[in-house]
Amino acid sequence: MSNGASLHNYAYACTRVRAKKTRMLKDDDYMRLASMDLDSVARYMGESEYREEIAELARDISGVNLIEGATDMNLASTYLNVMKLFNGNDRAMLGYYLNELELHNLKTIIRGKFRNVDNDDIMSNLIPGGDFTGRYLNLWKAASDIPELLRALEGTRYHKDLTLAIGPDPYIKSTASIEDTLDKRYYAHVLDSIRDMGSGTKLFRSFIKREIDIRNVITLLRVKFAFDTEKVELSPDLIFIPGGQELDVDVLKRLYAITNRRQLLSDLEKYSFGYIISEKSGEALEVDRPTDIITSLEAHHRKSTGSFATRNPLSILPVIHYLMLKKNEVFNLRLIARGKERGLSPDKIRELIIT
Amino acid sequence: MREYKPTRSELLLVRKNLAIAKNGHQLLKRRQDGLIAKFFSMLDETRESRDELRKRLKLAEESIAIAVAIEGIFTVRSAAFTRHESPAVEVSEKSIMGITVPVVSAENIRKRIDQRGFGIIGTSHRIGEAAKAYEELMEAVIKVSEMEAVIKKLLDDIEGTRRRVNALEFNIIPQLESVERSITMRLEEMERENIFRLKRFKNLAEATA
Repeated sequence: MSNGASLHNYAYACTRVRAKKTRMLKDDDYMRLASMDLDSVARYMGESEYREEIAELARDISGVNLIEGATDMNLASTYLNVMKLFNGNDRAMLGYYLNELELHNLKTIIRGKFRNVDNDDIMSNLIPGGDFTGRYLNLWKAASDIPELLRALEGTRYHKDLTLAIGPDPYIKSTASIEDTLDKRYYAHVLDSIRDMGSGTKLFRSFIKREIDIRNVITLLRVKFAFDTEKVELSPDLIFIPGGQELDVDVLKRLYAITNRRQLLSDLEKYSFGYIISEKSGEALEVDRPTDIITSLEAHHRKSTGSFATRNPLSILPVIHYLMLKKNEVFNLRLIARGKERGLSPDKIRELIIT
Repeated sequence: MREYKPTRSELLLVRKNLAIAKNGHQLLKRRQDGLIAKFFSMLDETRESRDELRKRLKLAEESIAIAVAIEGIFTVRSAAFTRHESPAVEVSEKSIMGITVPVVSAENIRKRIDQRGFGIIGTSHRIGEAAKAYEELMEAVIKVSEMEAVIKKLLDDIEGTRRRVNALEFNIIPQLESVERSITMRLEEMERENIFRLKRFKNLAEATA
């Protein structure tokens, strides 16, 4: 908190967010929803916080697509509403952080353009709301390939990052490196946005750095547990996000060089999330996949943000924590709806629900 | 079966044919036993591969269901845009006990994490796992398709061999044996007639002398 204005801002925002939190679905609600059929889930949502989005989208889509569309739209409008609670630097900072939906849509457009996917097909897979389904819609639709997309987005906020991500090589072999660079630029922007904002952003910076650590460890584990991992040609500079709290890129490079999985997991045990690694490493080695470790690391990040938010009630963290919980709520509702559509058993759905 | 004349040369021919038929029957019987043994050993292997295929199908369906359920259909479809290489399936041939059977091989099925086409930082591990599960399913499908084609070829050949063995055992060999018996009997009869005739000639000659 850099000054009185910010403090006042946080007090107001946190009070509003606390009120919003009380209206969120509880664990019991998810368990009940997991036992309902799909129609009952849709009916329940039509009477809940999602009724506006359900009513708006019901004209064009139905069934489980309606539920997914409505939850995505609700999440986007929640982000906008929360941003409206802030002014100035705080708003800009949150703006960068909440830009991940736009990033997702940009990646979908890049993938589609690279593989010559029909514009309508790309459009039907964009998350509703935001620049790419709004003011930049005609710009990207007019582009027939990635260089044209780059030219079309000239003058927009995405042009610089995309230029950097595509690089000078005119022959693009894969979109993977473009996507990874865009993801790294996303975190660079968030960290840059708080660099000159003084000590008031310390907690947010620390949160972002912890998030970078978790994402880097997840990337590391995914590569090391992947098929034919010794032949993987990925530069650590490309896949690791700089700016972590405990693991900088040099440490990550050292860990990346370890070929023995047991040794790698044992080295990771000394970090703050190490208890998860020591708890889950045996099973991960046995089943040859790190899924449980990854899921637990994500849960650990949410929980640690929750505890920081409780310890710092007049900061941005309660707001961030609320947004994380909101995202979980959306994920859980989608999980229940899609899980039912795809024939997952209620027990499996309950097991997968993020709490 | 053609008509046989009751001559010694025909008898020799029939005996030669009978020996060939018996020898062929033995060889075919042994081949049939070998094919049946091979069939049963492959049947167990194919059953295991089919069970593995069912397991992989269930896993793949569950993985994609989880990916779609947690990440959303838009995110999964977006990741699917990056698919750029179809697996190249090749069918060649090899020989098992003289039977030509297909060998199905494929390239580019299992992809490394850096070959999937989507970024690793931003694409969920659940999508990666679903892709991996389907790659493993595809491998299992190819393995089972090859094994089932081999099993079918073996079955066809066993059936053909069985028909030949039965034809030899219940038709050709008994017929040849019967012909051999009748020619032998006819030849013996002719021999007896000859002796009788000679005796008669001898008696007539003694009576006139």
